[in-house]
Amino acid sequence: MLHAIAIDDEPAALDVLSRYADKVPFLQLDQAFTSTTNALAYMHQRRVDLVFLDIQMPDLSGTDFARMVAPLQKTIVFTTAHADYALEGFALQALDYLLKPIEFPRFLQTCNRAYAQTTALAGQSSSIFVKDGYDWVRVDLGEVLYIQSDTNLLFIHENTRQISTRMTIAEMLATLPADQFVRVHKSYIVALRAIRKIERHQLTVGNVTIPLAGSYRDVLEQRLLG
Amino acid sequence: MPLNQLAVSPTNPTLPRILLALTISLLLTYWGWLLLSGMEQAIEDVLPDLGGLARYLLGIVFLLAMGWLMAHLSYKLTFMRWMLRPETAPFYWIWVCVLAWLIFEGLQIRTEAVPEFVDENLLVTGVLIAFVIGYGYVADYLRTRRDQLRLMQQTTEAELTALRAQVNPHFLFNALNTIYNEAQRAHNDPVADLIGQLSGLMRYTLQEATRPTTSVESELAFIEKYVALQRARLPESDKLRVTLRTDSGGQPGDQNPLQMAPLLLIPFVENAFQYGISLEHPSYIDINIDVEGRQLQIQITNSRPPGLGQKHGGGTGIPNARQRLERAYPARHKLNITSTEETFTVNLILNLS
Repeated sequence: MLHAIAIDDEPAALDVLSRYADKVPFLQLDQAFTSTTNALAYMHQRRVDLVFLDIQMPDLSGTDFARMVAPLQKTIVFTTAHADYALEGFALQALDYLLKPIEFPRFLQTCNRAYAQTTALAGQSSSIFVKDGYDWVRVDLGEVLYIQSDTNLLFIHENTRQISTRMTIAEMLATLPADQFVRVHKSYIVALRAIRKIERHQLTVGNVTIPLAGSYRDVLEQRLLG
Repeated sequence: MPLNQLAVSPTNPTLPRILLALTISLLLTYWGWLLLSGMEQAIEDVLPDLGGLARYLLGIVFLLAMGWLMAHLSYKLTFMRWMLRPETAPFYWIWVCVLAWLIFEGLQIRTEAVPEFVDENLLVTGVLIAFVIGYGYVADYLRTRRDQLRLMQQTTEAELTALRAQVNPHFLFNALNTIYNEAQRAHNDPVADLIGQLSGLMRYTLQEATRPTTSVESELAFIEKYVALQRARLPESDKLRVTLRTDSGGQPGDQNPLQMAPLLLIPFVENAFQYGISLEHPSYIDINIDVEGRQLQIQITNSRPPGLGQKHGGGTGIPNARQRLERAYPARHKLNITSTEETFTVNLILNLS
């Protein structure tokens, strides 16, 4: 479970975040703050994995606050209505930069990235959550062999099970870490460690043959070599 | 900042012109008066023969006019053509020499090549040539200054527009965000989604698309939002079909996503919605965007329902898009537009690099 707090001077914005957080099974929004002072005190006392931080606030800007709490090494996600601050936000090593109004799929993407990062840091293999029908299913990224897209559905193949989820391949690409997965075809993403054989126009993952499109060949070779 | 001067001077252009006209007529009157009083004696002598004086004055005016015409033509036809580039400048000086020779020979013929008149003819030639050269430089200086002023004015206008666009978005996005929050609070998800898409569109056109290039991914996301908003305006019906399939060909966690010039594709999509959809007749739009390697391909097919068909081609969208493609991807794109009775198809291949 991820423990998160949100800081924003507008209560309505905090409402949206807490409603979204309710929909994400692995995220617990413990507190929402309208001022940075209270948030700072809280961060020193309680467990906080993830901070949703507005940038434009009257007393102390979000970027200044982020600089201040940098020693605490919390994962920070900036939320703002303005794209102008994006560069500064990324320079501060934020995990992500959410532009308001924040839409739920984008929010979920960020949470999944935070989750994968946190689980990996905790020494567990990193994992994400996807929705299979009405259920949230935890997917251990270390177990995934390959992911196949078919119109609006994604099929996540593991050794022992197959999960289908309503997601676009673009959303999945934005969620997965670059060092573990590579796209080899219009409709296939494979786990780098699961590749057993590469041939000219196909590769073998587990015991399944997957087409390798010419335009993705270079990237595959690059990522395999380092 | 010369902003105020620039803004004021074009608003009242008549006053300086009146002043100029007054000054010139004053000067000419003064000179005329001097000339006349100096020639008073001569006039008295030839008073009965007023026609001679008129002819004399007319001759002077004619000579001045010819001199001016020569200088002006020399400026327009030779100075403008050759002097603006250093490598062709010698041509202009060759022309000046030829002109000097011609004038001198003309004067020689007039004075029947009498040796006593050679120095006088040389002097007159010199004066005329100096006038021609001087005219060229002065006219060129004035032209450059005018162009500079116009350019400065344009820059100021562009700056003002940029300023306007900079002030508004902050307010605009805050407002859209507030509406979004309210729609969420009222559990009105369709409205919230539409507001989300609308702000995405606005953000893209106002901010990202002002840069020379943007990632293919965000351009495709923009088209997705545009199509979603357009679809929301249309009724649900079996007779109506809108499909969109996009693939930016990206990789997981891409650090250097493929870049492209922004807003190149949207005119074709807009065109399809403008002319391809009818509420009375069965109609459809199918859009396919694919990226393979560094090659982007977009294919748009739409029906041409009767009644909308004849409007086709009247718009400026597609010609403008063609021009922008020509400028952004010269010789690196292939645009095929085929039009039949029932369908209109756009097929565009871009070589991004």
